[in-house]
Amino acid sequence: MPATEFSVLVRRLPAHLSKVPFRCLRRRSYHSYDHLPYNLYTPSQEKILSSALKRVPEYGFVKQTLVQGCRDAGYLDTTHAVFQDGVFDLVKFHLYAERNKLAALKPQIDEEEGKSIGKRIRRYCMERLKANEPIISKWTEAIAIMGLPQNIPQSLEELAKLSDEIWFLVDDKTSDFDWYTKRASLAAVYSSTELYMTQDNSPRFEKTYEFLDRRLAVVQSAGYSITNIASWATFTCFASINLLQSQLSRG
Amino acid sequence: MAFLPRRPLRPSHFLCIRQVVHRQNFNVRYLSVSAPLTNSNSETKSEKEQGTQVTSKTTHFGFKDVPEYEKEELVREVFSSVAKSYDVMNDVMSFGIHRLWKDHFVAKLDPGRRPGGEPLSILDVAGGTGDIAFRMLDWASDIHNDHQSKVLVVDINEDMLKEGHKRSLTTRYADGSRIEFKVQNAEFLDAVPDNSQDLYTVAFGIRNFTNIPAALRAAHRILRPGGVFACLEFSKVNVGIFDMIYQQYSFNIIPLMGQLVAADRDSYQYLVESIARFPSQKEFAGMIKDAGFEISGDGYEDLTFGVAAIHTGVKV
Repeated sequence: MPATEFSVLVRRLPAHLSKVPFRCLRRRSYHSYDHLPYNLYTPSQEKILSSALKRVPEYGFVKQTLVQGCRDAGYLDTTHAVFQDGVFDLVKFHLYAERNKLAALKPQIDEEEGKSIGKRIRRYCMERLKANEPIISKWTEAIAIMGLPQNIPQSLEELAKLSDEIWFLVDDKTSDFDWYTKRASLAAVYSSTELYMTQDNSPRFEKTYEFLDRRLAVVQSAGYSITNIASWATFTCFASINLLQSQLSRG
Repeated sequence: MAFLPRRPLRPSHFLCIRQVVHRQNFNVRYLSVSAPLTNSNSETKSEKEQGTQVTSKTTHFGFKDVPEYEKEELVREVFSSVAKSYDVMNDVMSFGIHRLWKDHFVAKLDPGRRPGGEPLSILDVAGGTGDIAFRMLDWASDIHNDHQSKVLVVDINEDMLKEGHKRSLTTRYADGSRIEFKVQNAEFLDAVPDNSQDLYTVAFGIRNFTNIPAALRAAHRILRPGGVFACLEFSKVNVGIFDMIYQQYSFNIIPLMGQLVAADRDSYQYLVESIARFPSQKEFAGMIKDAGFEISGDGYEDLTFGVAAIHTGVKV
C-alpha cells in the first residue's frame, strides 16, 4: 500500500509544503469513494476461479482443481495455463474475494455491534473466518503454498490488506505510528486464529472463536500497557530535559 | 581484439539520436561486410526490382532498419545458415540453461489429455527443430499417459523443419501420427483453420517475426475459446548489475562464439541485436492484450532475472 504510506508521510510535512504546485507532493486522501475499486480479475477469470474454489473440498489446493474449474466454467483443460502462479492464484483469489465481501457487511455490523471498536473488529474477524469454513479441511495445503519462498511477499501483502480493510471498515482514522502497530497486531491475531482453526474439531468452530477472543484481549491489554509505558516514557523524557534546562540556565 | 566494440553496447545507445552515426558504422562493420544476409548488393537489387516498394514500411533486422518485405528473407537466411549447429550453439551460449527454460515452459503449460477430457491439438510455431514439440509430447505421454494429443510444428524455414523431422525419426513419434511438420508463415497460418487449436506455443521465435501484432492476431484466430497462447522469449533483465554483465556477454562473447563454434559471426550478431530490440515484458504483455487475449496478473513470468520470460494469454 505505498499510496497510503505516502499520504501519511505527506500529511506530516510542514503545512506550506502541501501547497507545493507539484501534484505528487500534494496531500491525497487514502480512499476514494468516487472511483470503482480496481478489479484484479476479468469476469472470465473470476468465473473459472470461483468454480474451482467450489471443487476445493473435493480435491484440495492442487492443479486438478484449477483444471476442473476451467471445465466447470465452460473452458478448455488447457486454459489453466494462463494463471501465472498456478494453484497460488487460486489461493490468492480466495483471499481477495473474501476480503472484498467484508465491505458489504458494514451496515449490518455497524447496527448490531454498536460503536465499540473492539466488538466490531471481533465481528469482522469472525465473518472472515466463517468464509474459510467450507474449505478449512484443505486450508493447510493453502498455508503451505503461501509459505513457499517465492509466494511469501504476496501472501504477507494480502494479510496486510485484510488487516487494513478491517481497520478501515471500523472507521479508524489514525495517522500516526499507531497506524502500523494496529495493523500489525490485528494481522498477527488473525493469522494465528486461522492456523488454530485448521486444527479445530469443535462443533461450529466454537473453540476458534474463543481463541480469537483471548488473542484480542491479550492484544488490547498489551496495547494499553504499551500506551501507558509510552506516556510514562514521554513524561520522563520531557521532565529530564526540563530539569537539565533549568540546571544549565542556573549555571 | 580490435574488432570488438570498445565500449559496452546497450540497447539505450541505439535508441538515442546522437548515436545514429555510431550505430550505422556498427552495422557496416558487423553486418554488411562479407555478410551473406545484408549485403548491399541484395538491397540495391531488390530496390531496382521492386521500385515503388522502396518507400514501403520498414522494420528492424537486428539494429538495422530494413524494408518489411526484406526481413522475412533475411531471417530465413540466418536460420538456414544456423540450422545444423542450432542446438549445439544454444547449449554453448546459454550454458545449457535453455533446456531448463524449455522444461519449465512445458511443465507450466502441463499439456496432456486428462480423465474425462479430449486429446489436445497443439500448434508449435517457429518450432523448427522440434525442441518444444518433443518435450510436450513427452510430457503428455509420461505425465498424463496420453498417447493421442498431437502437435503441429510450423516454421517459415524449411531447413529448420528438416532438422526437426530428422530428429523425430529417432524418437517414439517417428511414425508421424502425433507430430506433423509444415512450412507456414506465422502471420497468416493459412493451413490452420479458425478455432481449431487448444494451445499455441512459440519459443524463441516471435522476435524474428516481421509483424508481431499480425502473428498475435493469427494466434487468436486459430485458438479455440479457452485456448492458451504461450510464448517463451528472451526479454529484459531486471537486475541492474546482472544486466550489465549480460549485455557485455551477449554483445562481445556470443558473436565471437558464433564465429568459433559455428563459423558464422553475422547470424549470431543478428541474434543478440534482435534480442535487444525485442520489447520489454510489460510492453509485450500489452501487445498480447491488444490482440484480444486476456492475461492474468502481469501476464508474464521472468526466468533467470528476466533473461527470458514466459508470456501467456487466453482467448475468451
